[in-house]
Amino acid sequence: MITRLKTKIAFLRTQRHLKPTSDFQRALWLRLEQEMGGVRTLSFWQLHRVASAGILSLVFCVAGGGTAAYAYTNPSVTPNNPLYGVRLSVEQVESSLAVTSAAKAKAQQHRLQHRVTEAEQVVGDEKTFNKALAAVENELSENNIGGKDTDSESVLKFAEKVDDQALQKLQNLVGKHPEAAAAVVNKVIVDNAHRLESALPKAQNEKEKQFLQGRLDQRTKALDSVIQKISDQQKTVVSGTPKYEHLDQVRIHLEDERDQTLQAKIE
Amino acid sequence: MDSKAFQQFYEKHFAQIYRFVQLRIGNKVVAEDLVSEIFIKALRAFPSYDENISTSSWIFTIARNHLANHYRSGGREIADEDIEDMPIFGEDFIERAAVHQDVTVLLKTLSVLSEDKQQLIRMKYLEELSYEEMAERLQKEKGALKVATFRAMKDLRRALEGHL
Repeated sequence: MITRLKTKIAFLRTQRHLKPTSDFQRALWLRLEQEMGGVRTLSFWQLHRVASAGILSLVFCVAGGGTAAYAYTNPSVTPNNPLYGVRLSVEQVESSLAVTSAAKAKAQQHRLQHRVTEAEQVVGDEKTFNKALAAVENELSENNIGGKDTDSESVLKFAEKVDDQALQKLQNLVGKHPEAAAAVVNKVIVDNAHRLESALPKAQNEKEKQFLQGRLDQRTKALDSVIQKISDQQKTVVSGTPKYEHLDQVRIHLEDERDQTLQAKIE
Repeated sequence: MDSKAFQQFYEKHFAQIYRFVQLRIGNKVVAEDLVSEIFIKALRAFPSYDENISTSSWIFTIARNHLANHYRSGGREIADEDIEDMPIFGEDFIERAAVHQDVTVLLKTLSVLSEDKQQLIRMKYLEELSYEEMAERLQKEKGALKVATFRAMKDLRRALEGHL
């Protein structure tokens, strides 16, 4: 009798681990509704009129409760996920509703955070990972050289904070997955640094110039940190271990890139 | 396309398909991706679905084929029909479920039983199917399945005696 009861409890516990979340169920239904062409949407003016009531809660409400919220907030919704389109749609609505500089910066911060988190989720899948990092690079560029709203000091400070966080996350990614991330993360930072360099002469005022210069410095520091992390990794593994053999070449390549970036700054 | 009919179909089968996939994949993220793809396939093929011919076996056939393709794309050789008999629980699932020791003991003991018995217990108590649904999927008599499942559970309890 006791075994019967205990068996039942064990089954109930196992069943709990097999249960789908209601958020996922609703999110998938939204995706299927999109597929059927029956998505419930409000027109832009309707959304705009009530934007002050809270942009995201409204978007989530329109999209059917926790449905879009799941796609928007769940880190497992990566570029390969069928719900990824829902996430991008919610981001677009958030951006289009952002009427103040601060709100625009905040929307951009959300997008950037999502792109970095997506990249973290897909380490190991080279193709998707590169795609995710390209999206990070795109958002970083938008964040820095958009040239919009740079008149407000608070927006610039906010953008600095967001940018620092993104760079830090990219560096952490190298620390966690040196084999998969080192070379591509470096490329993202270097490409982005080149964009900053080309934006510098176009700076409208001294404040904007200082901002861009500061961001460029941060990228040089980030490259140093990436190189350091790779060196640390090499020290922790037994010499000649095949897994990390090519990191030495990556490190040399990174040092070259960093020197070129520095050279460009001096010129 | 009758969207209301598809919504009813989705609500009826969503949890079953999720459990079916999760038991065989064991990774929540991958399982969610696969379940999404399975229902998108089902939606596209829904005009050909006839409830009078099949209630649940239609969607399970799509799920089985999709899982087999998923394994094949990972370099594993597997026939569609083998998916049904897969007596595995993914590592990720075991790791999460093993928070409770009794669950670990249950899963280990279950794997000692014959494959037929494992399948019956898995379908009835983990996938939570009715005997009608089991009969449709296995193409067997409902009464015979009831008896066989009862016997399988008796064997499981006997094997668990003193371990739980």
